[in-house]
Amino acid sequence: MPENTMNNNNVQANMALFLGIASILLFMTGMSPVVGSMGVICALLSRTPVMTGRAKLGMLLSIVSSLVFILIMGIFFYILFTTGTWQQIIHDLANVDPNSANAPSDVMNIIQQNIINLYQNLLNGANVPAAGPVGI
Amino acid sequence: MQIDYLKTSTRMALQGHYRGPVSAALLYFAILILADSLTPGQTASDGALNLIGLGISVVVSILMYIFKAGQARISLQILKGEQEVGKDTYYGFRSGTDRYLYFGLVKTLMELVFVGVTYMLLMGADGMNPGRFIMAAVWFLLGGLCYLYISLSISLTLPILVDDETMDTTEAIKESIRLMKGMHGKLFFMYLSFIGWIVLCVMSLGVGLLLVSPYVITTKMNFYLNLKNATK
Repeated sequence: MPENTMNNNNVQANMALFLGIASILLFMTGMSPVVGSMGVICALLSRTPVMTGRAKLGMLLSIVSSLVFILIMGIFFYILFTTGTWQQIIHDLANVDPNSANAPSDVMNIIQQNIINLYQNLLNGANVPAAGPVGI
Repeated sequence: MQIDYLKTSTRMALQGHYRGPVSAALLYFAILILADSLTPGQTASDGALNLIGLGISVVVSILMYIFKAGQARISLQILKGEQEVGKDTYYGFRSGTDRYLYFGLVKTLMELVFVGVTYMLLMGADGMNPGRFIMAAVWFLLGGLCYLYISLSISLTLPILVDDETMDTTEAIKESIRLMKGMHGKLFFMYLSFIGWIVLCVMSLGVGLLLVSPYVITTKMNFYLNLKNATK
């Protein structure tokens, strides 16, 4: 194995940095863990045998953005479960006719409306399950 | 032969040479996904359609060994420092296609027997019951261990076939078994060491496989070259 193996023109390291930045920029689209894990893969593959500064920075950005996104989603689902919103969504979905042409939009409406109800309840300080059945 | 050393030297050899292996991996997965989407019977309740689907899956699985040979050839060339040839993605078609098909048949039949017996034990004609479950569990453990041992024993066949164009499949299998004597654990732990990479691939919705699968294949080729040099 060659001793001097640090390569500044390492394509993988540049890709890792690019993907790390992309994972932060794409945070709101929900793609952070996907792009971030690609960034981590590129950074780890760039080790020859040590990691360049760019790769380290890319890996850090990728891991931070992915973990923050996963944490936020975890908190979101925790709130969905503990406020009864999730159960309400399941209950409402049972009323959707799967053979109907409007079924996909009905499902989206139910999810959307229940989350809006939850948001309003939280804003009003009400520690109660999300509001009742959603009209479809 | 240290696993860490193998993996590091593989990464170093791959630096700047990812284009060939990644395009070969892209082609491999594209064909696999296309074949899978065209295969009928995965959700069908029709028994005949399921059987046709199974038959097509088996044939596709065997044919894919031709592309696996191409991937292995590209990895071998990178490790040997030879100039990359773009045509080597289709190396399996140019050099003794029947040898790869024969090996593909052997491996696919092995998988089919293992999975088929497990399935039949679990879901026999009289349905699922505790006795059957215990039998299936015992078979899964013992059969699984045998399957793993035989798989590891013949796992160097493809690298040998790609490395030596004059060797036929039976000879390559015998050579693989000879080379792998006492090395099963090492290769097994080498495969296990990629678990973290697989988790990252799952998180990237499979896109990471385009980079990780050439790394795994090249590490295996590196393992073969090191073993071959050590036993000379």
